[in-house]
This record gives sequence, structure tokens and C-alpha cells, in this order.
Amino acid sequence: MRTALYLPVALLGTIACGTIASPGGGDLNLPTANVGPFTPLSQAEVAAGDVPPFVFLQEAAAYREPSAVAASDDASSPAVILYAVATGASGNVIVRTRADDGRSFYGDSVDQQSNASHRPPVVLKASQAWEGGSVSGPSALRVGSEVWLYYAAAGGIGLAKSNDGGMTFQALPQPVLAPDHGVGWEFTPPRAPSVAVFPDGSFHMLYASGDAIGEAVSASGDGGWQRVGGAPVLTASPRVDPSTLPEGAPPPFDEGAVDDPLLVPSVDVAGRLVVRVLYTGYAAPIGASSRPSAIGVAARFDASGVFTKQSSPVYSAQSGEAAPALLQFGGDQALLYVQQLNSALDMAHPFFAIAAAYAPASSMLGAPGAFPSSP
Amino acid sequence: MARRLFPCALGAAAIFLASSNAAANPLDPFGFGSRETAMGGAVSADVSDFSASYYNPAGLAKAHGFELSIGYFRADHFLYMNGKDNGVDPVKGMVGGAVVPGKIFDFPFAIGVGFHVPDDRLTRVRALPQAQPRWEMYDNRNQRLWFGVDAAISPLPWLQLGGGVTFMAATIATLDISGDVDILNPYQSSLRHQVNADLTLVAYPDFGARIELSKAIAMALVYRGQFKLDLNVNANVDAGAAVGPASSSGAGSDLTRLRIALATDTIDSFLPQQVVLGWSWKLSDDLKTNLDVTWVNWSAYIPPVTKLQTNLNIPPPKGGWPAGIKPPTPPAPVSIIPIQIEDRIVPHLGAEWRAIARSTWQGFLRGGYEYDKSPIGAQTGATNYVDRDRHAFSAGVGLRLLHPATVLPGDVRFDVHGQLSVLPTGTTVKQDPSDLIGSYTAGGHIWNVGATATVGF
Repeated sequence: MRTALYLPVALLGTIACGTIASPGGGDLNLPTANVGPFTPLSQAEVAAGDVPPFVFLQEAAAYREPSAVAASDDASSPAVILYAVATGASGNVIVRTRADDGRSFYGDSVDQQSNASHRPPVVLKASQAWEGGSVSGPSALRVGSEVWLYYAAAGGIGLAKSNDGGMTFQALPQPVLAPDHGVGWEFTPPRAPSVAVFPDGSFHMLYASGDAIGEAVSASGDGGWQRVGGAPVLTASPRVDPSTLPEGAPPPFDEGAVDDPLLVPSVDVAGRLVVRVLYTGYAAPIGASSRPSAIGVAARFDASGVFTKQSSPVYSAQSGEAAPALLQFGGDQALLYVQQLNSALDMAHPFFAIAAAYAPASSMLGAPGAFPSSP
Repeated sequence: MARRLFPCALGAAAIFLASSNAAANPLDPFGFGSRETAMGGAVSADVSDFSASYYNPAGLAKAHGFELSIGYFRADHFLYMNGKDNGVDPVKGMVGGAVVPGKIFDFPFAIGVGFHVPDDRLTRVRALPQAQPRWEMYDNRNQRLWFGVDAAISPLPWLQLGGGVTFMAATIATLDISGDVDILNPYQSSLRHQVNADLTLVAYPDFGARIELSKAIAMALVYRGQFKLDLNVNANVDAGAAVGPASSSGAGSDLTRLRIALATDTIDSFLPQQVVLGWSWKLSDDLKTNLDVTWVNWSAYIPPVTKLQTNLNIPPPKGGWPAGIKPPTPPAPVSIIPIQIEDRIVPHLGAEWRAIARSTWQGFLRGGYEYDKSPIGAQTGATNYVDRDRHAFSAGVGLRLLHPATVLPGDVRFDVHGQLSVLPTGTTVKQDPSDLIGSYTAGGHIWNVGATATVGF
């Protein structure tokens, strides 16, 4: 009888003592809008020799204002082609690079240490009078078999086309969106374009001007761009008196200006068109001596209209981050590329380079791959 | 025999109590004991074995002899969001207990103990951001050890009363971090940490009554108390901040010192109080049907979202911060959004048919159904407490050997069960287009199988 009583108790104790917890599950494949929040890449996620989160760095070129397009038809692949602004001998140019793993970019300074010939090729430089000697703000888009590259210059927003997979581009002779002095809020020429094709086949462009972001639409994408309404679709958040904020709550991160839109349209599981935009938010207005920045997200449900913002940024490094580019892959993964000040080499003289961050924040990328042999 | 066993039962109960066993609620969705699970949990007026510790402690007073039970169940989740499996951990482990009847002042009296011991982890604590999607009812709440001790008496032939307590462990922990931080390259930092954690007991009561209205009809009333598990974690960081690898920076080269105090307070698991009203109808000698109706006070639910308090003290170095270095700022306080959740009435239906009756053995077929309408409101805002209505269909068979051996004067029972919970897929539609999760579909099913053996003496 005593044995019958104590046996289960002993059995229980054995089970309890032998219990070794495995990692808890329940957070696999969680739904996400796939626009952040993003975590900067760590040392284990970038190429050996790179200083995280920087993935495309060359001090003299000061790479910035990236634009990303998928390099593979495989939606699960992180292979990416990146166009970025570089400082050239006579004005800013646009270069091209590629990373099969989304992180190890051809022509990165670490790549060049072992492959001196790996220099990112210039795919676009100013060649027309309206451009004013410099190009910036690339926005690459696959259209059929071509790659279209929208860009900004002194006289507005231009378009260059490539029929060789985005290696060489031929610019149109005139800007596709020129300054319009009749639009009150546009007190600078339009810049930083981002173009996407909506499900109805129309081309939509977000662009920055002054301290706000506007929208234009076109049926063909290479002409006939019309501004939407007379007001911006995204503006800086109204200034908030800090004394009115709850204890510890920060003021809006984009009280000064919004810039560098990145248009990301999609259709959600409820069948609604969701138009999201990643953008740079500045805490201080244009011209301020110090302008802390962060990457924010806003969205709307319809093809037109103003955007609703998320109050918190999706990426913040307090290092001059701006000009987001995005590669979505694998259904629920995304790599964010931004220009960011790198002060690791010379703290007194930081320079811009391309940094990368990853979402979902609950997981990490695997080990990086090799640098590609061509751009 | 029973009287001699009574002191042994008290001793067994003392062993369990002294070992600080915990208790929780995997039994709510997955049942306790194969017979009871097969009958959809509709047994509050029809239970007298170890599982009475959970379903209705008053039923213990109907026990005829000392019984020992042991079993095992495993519930595997196949829960999906946007068509992808979320990998919710299975709930699995041993179940069992003992019933020791006796008499006090000639009134039938019994002590019962019951347990569920997970075989993967004894308990799991988890605090997630309120925006992170999670299967609120299945992800973390059921990863618990459960233990209950109850006593029952029958002061009148038609009345049984019972009650007891169950126990749970709360967690208080402190995390201390010290060392050196390279503020330009955090990966070169050298930090040490120390964790101290205490588990403290939380107990909640349960009471039950069973009334025999006739030889064929009985009814029951059960109350299960509310409990909540606190998870308090305090973290203290005291580190020198330097430029360059930590190994090259002594205390003298520190730019400044980082002092961060962080305190979190989380309700890691909350079990709402419940009231069960049950009936059992014996339609014939071979067939009985049961109905339980459970009121669950979900409106008192506290979701496991962390309240965070941060105190950041980083004085600037002499001469100010170097160019390119910006001191960190404390995280913005989390504004906890109240969960929309409502009380629910949960019906349980069950039936048991003695299909075979021989002089030495009997065979039983059982079936049951339970409908849990989700108490959680539509997650159209920033929170993502994912849940769906649950239809639980169950079935089982039982074998009772009547007095199989002289050393086993009681019965020996073998019961098995299978339960399929279906959570119909529905779409959660967000109102805010900038929501970082977006709209999603969620649904799935859960398979629960198990077996229990009981030996009567």
C-alpha cells in the first residue's frame, strides 16, 4: 500500500526534476505590414570587416539616398540592386551596386580591400541643362522589361530608362515634373521622388518640396504627370508644447519637416488597397543648426488622400538617418536601407554611408554571403 | 481500509504542499482526466474521482474507496495567422491524483488531490508588447503546472459539499548589469550580469456543492476563485562608458558612467473567477447526459502587458559629449490600452453510455461538446490579443474491470479521449491604415488526446 502511494509521488518528482524548458514558441510567422519597426543590423549580420549597421560605405563617395529594387524574381530572395547618390568629381552622380544577400554590396570599402577593381559604376550623371550639373534622389522601378530611374535635379524630377537590366540609362530630355510656382506650398523644386504602380495600373509619385510631401499621378509614368490637389499629402506634425506632454513622452519626431518619401502600395487580406509611405521626419525646420531625424511611416486606405502617421518612428539611430529604401522579401521580412552618418572611422568627421536594418525585430538574418563579382 | 488510508492521504497532501507546487489553468480548455474531457467537461454533477479537485470538489464525497489515477494528455495547436502556423507550443504532461474517502462523525468525508505536471516546462512567464500578435488564450496561459487539494463531506445523503485551494507561483526577479560600454561600437562592450529570482506562492479557493434531486437527477454549483500571477523584474545597469573596446578602457578613461534603473510590473497570467451550474440526468441504467453552464468573469481580465518605469542617469562628460555622440534617452512610457473583453457563458454538453455490461467488465462510449465564444473584442486598434470562438468536439471510450484481483478490491478503469477544437478562421480588420501589423486572418484547430488509468482499492 505504501509503495502504491509513494510511487506516483516519486514519479512526479522525477518528471519535475527532469523538466528542461525548450525555447518558447508562439511567435512564428506573425502578421506584419512589413514596414518595420526595424532593428539595425548587428556585427553577425554584416560582412566581416564592415562596421554595423553600415553595408555600403566609401568615404570619398559618401553614398546616400538609396533606392532598392529586387534583383531576383524569387520573392523569397534578399538579392537586391541598390542605386545611390555618390559624390563625383563634378557634381553628384548615381551609382549602382548589388548584394545577393541584401547586405554584402559590390564595391563596398571592405570588398575593395580584396577586389580593388570593384568600383560601383556610375549609371547616371547630369548631362542636360535643366539638371544643373547634379543628380540625386533615385527611385528605381521595374516596368515590363525595362528599369526606370526617376531622379531629382535642379529643374525638377527627371526620368531615365534602361533596357539592359538597369546597367545603363538613357535620360529623357525634359523633366517629367517641373517646378510649378502656382503651387503655394512648393517653395523649392520637387525632389526625392518615389514612384509606384497601383493595382489599377496608374503611376503614382510622391515627391518632397519645401518641408512637405506632395503627390502626382500619371497614366503612363513617362509623361503626363499631374499634381494631385493643391495641398501636400504629408506634412510635418504640428508643434507641441512640451509642458503639455505626459511625463516622459517625447514630442513628435517630425515637427520640423518631412522628406524623402518611399511609396509602398499593397492590398491587404481584407482586399483593401493600403498605400504606405516611409519618410524622413526632422525634428527641426529647414535651416536649423541641428536637425535630428528618424524614419517614420504613414498610410492611407485609398488611392488618393492624405496619410495617417504612426506616432513613433520605425527606425531611429540618432545619426542623421534619412532617405529610406526598402526591400521586402519572404512574405514577412524586410531590409531597410538609409543614409546615415558614420563616425566609427573618424569621430570628428563623420560621413554618410548606407546603413541597413531588418524587420521583424524579433529575429535576425543569417550569416552574410560573399560579395558579388559584378554590380 | 479507508480510515487507515486517511492519514496517508493527509501525508501525501502535506508533501505536495511543502514542495510549493503551482497551479494554473490548462484544464479550462483541455479538461482534466480522459473521462471528463471526453464528456466535454460537463461533469460537475457527475464526478467523484481525482478530477473532482478541478470540476467539483463536492463530488469527492461520493467516492467509494481509495483511488489512484495517473494519465497523460497532449494538446497540439495548429493555429494560423495569414495562413501561416504560429508555432504555439503544445500543452502536454501527466495528470493524476488520489481520492481518499473516510468518515467524520459518521458523515462521508474525502480528501482529494489532483495535479497536472507539464513534461516540457513547469511554468512559463512571458510579457509581450501589446501590439505583438499572440494567441492570448493558448500561447502562454496554459503552460502551467496545476495542483489542487480539496476536501468534501456529505452531511445529508442528498447533499455533498466540498472546497479547497490551488496554488500558483509568482515571480520577483532582479537583473544587475555592470561593466564597460563602448559607446561607438556596442558590440565591443564587456558587461556582466546577475539574475536573482524568487518564486512566491499565490493561492485561490474553490468550492462546490452537489445536490441529488432524485435518483436520476443531480445538480451542482461550483465556484472557482480568481488569481493573478505577478511578474516583477527590476534591472540595474551601472557601467562605465568609453570610446574604444572595453578591454582598452580602464576606469580612468571612462567618459562617464551609465546608471539605469528599470522596473517592470506584469500580470503574467490571470485566471478569472468562474461559477458553474451543472446537471446530470440518468436516463437509464446505461445512459446519462450532463450539462454544465460556466460563467467566466473575463471582464476582470488583466492582459500580460508590461508596465515599465525607467530612470536614466548619464551625466555628460567633462567638456561635453564628443561630436557624433548623442546620449541615449529613456524609452517613452508605454500607454497601456485597456483590453476589450466581456464575461462569457460557456456551455458544456456530455453523454456517457455503458455500451457493454458484463459481470467482470464494462465498456463505455462517451461524447461531448463545448462552445467557448471568444470574450475578446475585435482587435481593430493597436492591440493584437488574437482569439477566435472555439468549438470543442470530444469523444472517448472507457473500460472498467470489476474487482479484477483480490489485492485490488476496487475497480480498475482505463479511459482514453480525443478532442478536436475548431477555431473558425476570421479576419481582423484594422481601422488605422498606418498600423504596423495590418489586417490579418486567424484561425485553426487543436488536437487533444490522452489516456487515464485509475486503480481502486
